[in-house]
Amino acid sequence: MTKTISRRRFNQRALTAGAAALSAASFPAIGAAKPRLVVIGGGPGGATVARQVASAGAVDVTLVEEQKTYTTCFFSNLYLGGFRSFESITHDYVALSTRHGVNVVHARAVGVDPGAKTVRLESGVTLPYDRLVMAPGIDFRWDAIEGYDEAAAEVMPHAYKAGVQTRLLKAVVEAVPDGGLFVVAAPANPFRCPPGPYERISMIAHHFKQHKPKSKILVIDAKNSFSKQGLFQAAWERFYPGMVEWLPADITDGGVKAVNTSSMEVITAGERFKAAGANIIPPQTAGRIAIEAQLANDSGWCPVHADTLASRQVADVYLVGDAIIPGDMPKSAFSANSQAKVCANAILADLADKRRFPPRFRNTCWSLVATDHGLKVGANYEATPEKIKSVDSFLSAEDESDAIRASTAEEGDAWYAAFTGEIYR
Amino acid sequence: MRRTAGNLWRAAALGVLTTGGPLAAGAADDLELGEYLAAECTACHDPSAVGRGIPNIVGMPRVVFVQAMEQYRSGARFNEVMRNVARSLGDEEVAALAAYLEQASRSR
Repeated sequence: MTKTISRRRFNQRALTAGAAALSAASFPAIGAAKPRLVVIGGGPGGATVARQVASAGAVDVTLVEEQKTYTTCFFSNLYLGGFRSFESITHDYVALSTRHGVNVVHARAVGVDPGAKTVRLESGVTLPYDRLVMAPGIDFRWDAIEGYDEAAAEVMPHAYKAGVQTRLLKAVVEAVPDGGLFVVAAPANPFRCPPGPYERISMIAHHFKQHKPKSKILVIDAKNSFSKQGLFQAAWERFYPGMVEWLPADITDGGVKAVNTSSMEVITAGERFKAAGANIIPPQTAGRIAIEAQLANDSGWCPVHADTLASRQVADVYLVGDAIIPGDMPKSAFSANSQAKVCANAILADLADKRRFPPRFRNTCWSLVATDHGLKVGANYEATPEKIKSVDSFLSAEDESDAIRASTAEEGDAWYAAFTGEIYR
Repeated sequence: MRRTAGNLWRAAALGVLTTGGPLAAGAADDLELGEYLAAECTACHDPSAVGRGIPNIVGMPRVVFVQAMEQYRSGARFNEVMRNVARSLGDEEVAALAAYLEQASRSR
């Protein structure tokens, strides 16, 4: 690629990086072979990096994803509320493979050897890489709530990894009798999708209002405030009066401590609540494979350099999405996609001498609280040496009209179509 | 981020003297930068969108795009997301995006 003089000046850092890569013997020995990128995880972060890098044509891209379909955690609450079908939130990897040149491998990655620069699959196959992107999302801290293990999650679903758990939670919600108590345990920060539990509460309330109006929702929170709190609580008062009770951490001395799935009790430091159904969202960490690869620090999340999304702990490995501690960016699909574009640009500059651009980050989260009633929150971010820093944020206004709330709901739907299309179509 | 100095520098390097500003068209169009920036747009703007909510912007005439950005910046037009987007773009970036979107194909 011929670069103009101005580009050389504009893009000096990228050229330096490119030169370093060329001299570092990280390219395959065979001159004609392309450098190899392996991406672990086919959610919005991993799939976006894979597609963006593959579309440039200069890098051989392999995406390792266990599942043949991906059900989005974002908008899965709308399925719970009856606003969307399960099929409408489920996508596949066919277009990534056939239209966008990504080598999609449906297998479970079980380990990374950063010295040999290989990824080991469950089958025993190893995939060599020049650069690795890890987008493993979250895992749960099963030891954090006594009695809440993977078996308990079959009775009191978390539904915080979408798919089978999402269907299970819908069945649990639908089985609650009129007048029954539904308990939601919300985790402390940081966790995936900060408005997620509260949009979910709204959607469950929407279902109850139509089908079992005497039922109640008790929210036992492990924190004292939450995303879009004033907006959510005002909406609950207006659309579901008397139905939702929220208990901050101070009231219960830290939220849910234990569950008993035999007696269907949800237990705090001082009280036991008998539930007709429950949704327990446990505390979270980075996906286990990232922790095992020494990419996480003591927080359980993975620190990265803000300008490239490169790991601060392991060379030639990048991370995007919910597994990272990015600073001010929330763990959201929108954030993951935004980080993925910066990461893809950095990798293309590094591996293929493509032009490097200044990192840009953005997030917006739309939440539906009732029919034609949407809320949104968002921000611009910039990379600093320490973190990804919020520079300009917004939140739906408390006094805005129903017409604006309706257009926000419509905007959310349009975003979902564009966003999943950009990644999976 | 405003990069007016960089813009002039690039124009000089190419031997093209433009009058500057987002509507200055021609050989100085930075389509690579525009393509990079447009990846931010496609997170929300569907090139195949026909319905409500968020419009398609691929193929938009550059004068329309530049005017929209100016209106979102000034508050003459209001949407929280677009206000934030417009505020985050300097004149050179608006020009690059406008040039890229105008010539981009609707299919992707």
